[in-house]
Amino acid sequence: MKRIIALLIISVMVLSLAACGAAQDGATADSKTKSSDKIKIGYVNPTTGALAGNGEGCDWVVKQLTDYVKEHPITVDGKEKEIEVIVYDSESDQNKCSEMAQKLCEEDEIDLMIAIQTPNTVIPVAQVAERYGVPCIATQSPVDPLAHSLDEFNWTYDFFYALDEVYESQRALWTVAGYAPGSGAKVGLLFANDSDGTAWHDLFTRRLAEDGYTVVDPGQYPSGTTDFTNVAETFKNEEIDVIAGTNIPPDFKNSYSAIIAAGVQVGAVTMGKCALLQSDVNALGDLADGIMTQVWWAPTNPYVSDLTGISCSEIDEKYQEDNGTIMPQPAAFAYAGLELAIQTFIAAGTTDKQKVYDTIGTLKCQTIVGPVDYSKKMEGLPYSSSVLTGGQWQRDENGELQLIIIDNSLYPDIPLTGEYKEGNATTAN
Amino acid sequence: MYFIQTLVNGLLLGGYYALIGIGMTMILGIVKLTNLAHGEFVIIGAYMAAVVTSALGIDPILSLVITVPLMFLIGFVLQYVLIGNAMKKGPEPALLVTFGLSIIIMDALRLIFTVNEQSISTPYSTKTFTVLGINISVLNLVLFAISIVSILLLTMFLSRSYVGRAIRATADDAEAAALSGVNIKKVYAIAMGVSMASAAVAGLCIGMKSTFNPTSGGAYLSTAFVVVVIGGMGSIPGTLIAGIVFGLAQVIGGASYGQLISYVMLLLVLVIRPRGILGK
Repeated sequence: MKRIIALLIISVMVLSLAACGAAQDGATADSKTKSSDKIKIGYVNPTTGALAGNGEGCDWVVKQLTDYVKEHPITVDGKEKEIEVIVYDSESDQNKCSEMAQKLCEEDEIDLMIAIQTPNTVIPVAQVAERYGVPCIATQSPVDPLAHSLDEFNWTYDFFYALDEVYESQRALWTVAGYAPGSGAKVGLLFANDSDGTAWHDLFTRRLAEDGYTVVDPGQYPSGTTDFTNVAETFKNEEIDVIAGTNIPPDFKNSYSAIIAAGVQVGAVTMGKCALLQSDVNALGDLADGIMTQVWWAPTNPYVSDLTGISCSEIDEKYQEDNGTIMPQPAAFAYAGLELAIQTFIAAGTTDKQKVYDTIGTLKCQTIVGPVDYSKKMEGLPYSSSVLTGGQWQRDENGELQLIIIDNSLYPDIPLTGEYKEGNATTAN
Repeated sequence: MYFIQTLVNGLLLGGYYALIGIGMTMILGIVKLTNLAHGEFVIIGAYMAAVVTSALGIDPILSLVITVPLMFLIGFVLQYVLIGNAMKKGPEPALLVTFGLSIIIMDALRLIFTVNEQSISTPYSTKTFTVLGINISVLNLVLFAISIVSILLLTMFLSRSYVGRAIRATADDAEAAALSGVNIKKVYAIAMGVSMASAAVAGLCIGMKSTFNPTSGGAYLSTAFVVVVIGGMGSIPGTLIAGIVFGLAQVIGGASYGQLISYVMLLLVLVIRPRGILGK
């Protein structure tokens, strides 16, 4: 009997693993049978693993746009065609990203690649697309790390903000809080020593000094660090006014708790990554109250998709109806990435890779996350800046944390949804 | 003053690390099994504590009344039915079973709780008090107290109860213990149950101190390994000492070099005293 139970459990384990494999292979088999009547778009998504929060909403977005093209087929190479988006899970692993991107290029013979969701996914996927000569639309990854990853780009266009722009967005938030450039305010830095943290750290250190702030840099740290005593002591001794950084939720919780425990009180906290998603902020609880962050997209933004005609508020309503939660910012960029892919094929009228690539560069349209114009270049990478506003997490009358747009100085067309509120967890005790 | 502050913080952090390693040391020392699912077990403990706390609206520490027995039961059944049978075929199949379990647990947690970060909030998570100019975080102090109480209870269980003595006898020589009438299979299942129960406590502490998601287990598995190797496999006092040493190394090295110093220390222990500080 015990042996039978053990066998049953092992069978369930084996079947589960086999099912995972089958699900992945299924996409390939399907894509092979329909190779000629559909335009194939490759998409590597962090569906599982540490970055899965960023990959949320991918399936929903893919369905919205494949359904749209089903109703509005694209004329390509003289034939009306639908799109097929082949999505593989990167498991939030950079090596897996490369492996899946290679599979898309070699086995699925895709016509275009979408590289999306943080530099960890975008860089390996874009590099594979470059190697195989597949046109690649990169988005939702700051321009700088991608631009620095290769000497030249012949197949990739990026659509997101450059780190200089995110610095300016955070600077606008410090200004709102009373710490304008030249005020001599002391800014304490909180950056991990990964590639993203290092890119932010180097730029912030330089720009802060140029703007007349005093930089208090306790040093970068490995992600996963649990003790921040020395960071807290440095901030306390230097009597900092502002905390700036970008951190994943556990790093932020550990560092910020240590800073509060040391009795440090600051007037403004601006943070990337952990203050992006509602779910992360809810997990941080009281620590998130009053934190400010750059906002890439909000349901109140005034943009309407040129392709589907849907507005930001309408897409958010639809997302909430189907998923029960507010549309996450990365999901809006996933929608925009696919919009751009479809716009490209409509404009190119062909799947010829060189013509498709050339067409991406000529796109001038509005997506759900704002206008696109690939006229900028960083090193060898052509890119289009996405919009940025400044937000603050504030508790509403029900005690729920809400992201309020409090600064639109970089893009005044975007409406504010509230005013800056003084105070944060360091001043709460 | 900074030196004393550093020592206090390192000490408080040490209890937290020891707690993460206790379950692992029991399984390595007694069952002689490298449990690759230990990190996921800890994360199950964190999710259970979060669910119980929010469902009943109680203080998170009280959730242990439900999660500890439940996790003990799960551990007992897992070892008795699944891992124990795999161990009969040798250490490799058992190792693979724990690896498979870690993947299944991770995916199951993802399906049930989504990939979103979670944490267990407490009214004292940001509270501090000052003694002789030393800032002490109430949360860190609570976690240290939980660790010390858990380790004391476990030590008493192993040294004073019949089952505890049977577990220690099995750890020393399973064959001799079997000849003396000890049911080895049952003892191993109890040891796994106790390991899971300690994972429940560790999970609660992790949930209160940090945030977690279904994939967070890997980081805690490596912490547990380091603590167990430094302390000596199977030694509970050794694990406590190793936890404190690990915590002090983290604090002295600071945020930038703490992890580096901890792992250099691990290498030194492996070279100078491969059995660990209190290992036999």
